[in-house]
Amino acid sequence: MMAIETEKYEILLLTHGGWGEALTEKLEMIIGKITGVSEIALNPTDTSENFFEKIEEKVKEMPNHSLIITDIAGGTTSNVALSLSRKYSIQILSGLNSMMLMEAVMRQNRPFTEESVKEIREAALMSCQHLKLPKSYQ
Amino acid sequence: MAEIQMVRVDFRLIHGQVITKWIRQTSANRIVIINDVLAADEFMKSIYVMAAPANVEVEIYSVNTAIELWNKNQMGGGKLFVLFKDIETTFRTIKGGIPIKDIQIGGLGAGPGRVAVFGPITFNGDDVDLLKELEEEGCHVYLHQVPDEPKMEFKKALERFHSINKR
Repeated sequence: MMAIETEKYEILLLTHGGWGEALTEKLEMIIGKITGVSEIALNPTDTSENFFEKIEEKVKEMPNHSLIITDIAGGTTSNVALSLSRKYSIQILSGLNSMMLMEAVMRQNRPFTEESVKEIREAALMSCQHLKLPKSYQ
Repeated sequence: MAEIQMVRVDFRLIHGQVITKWIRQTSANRIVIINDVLAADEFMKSIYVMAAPANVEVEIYSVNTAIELWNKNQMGGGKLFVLFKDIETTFRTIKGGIPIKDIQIGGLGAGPGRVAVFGPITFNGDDVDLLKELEEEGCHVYLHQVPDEPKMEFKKALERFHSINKR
């Protein structure tokens, strides 16, 4: 039987300077081909207004219940995403990191909901640890 | 009387550079945004209130309200980080009587008629005229994007502006 290509919910990354694209590309080394993830970079000369317009162009075409991941809470990337969420059904997470993106990619075949975003957030937080050798090796 | 700790003109208002760097450089506990358009937009106001660190209050006033509050009781108490989006609003606020002595220019965006004078920081002819007048009246104007990088005095930026415009 042929595999049926299910519709994927999109993930849009918003980062300062566009580092999310490199993150996506390199993560393929760990989890294989990634699709339905795109990025719009915030450049130094972008105003909040023209950045908003660029993001809206993209969000308009994304299915409802897609996910935006921003880099810095309180940054322009987050402020713009938040203001777009008034008009479009999107979920937003800030603090992009590798585990967050991996967890999000693994949940792309279902709509992003309050619940799934909570799971992604928890996984991302869990991945941030102060790594130390066991006492016997210190 | 509130103490004005820093005055910054930044077309993005509360954003990454401001929350990660500048707020921490000062001991400000109140951000005051002075902007007529934003003061009338409840929704956008709420976005900027959410953008600020949890221990910092955000207030957004029109130029007239800000001047009124200053005249009433110097805006109450606390340490202020004052943010403007553009030079014209800054100019009107100072002319209206809020005693601002130092103006940090962090970014004014891009657009027709705008010339980059220091990194991505741009000026247009109107900005230059208004800032010159403020400097003549004793304001200190400088350009500074992020703390760890160099800043530039307005005079130097003005020379750059004229030399670029001549070409």
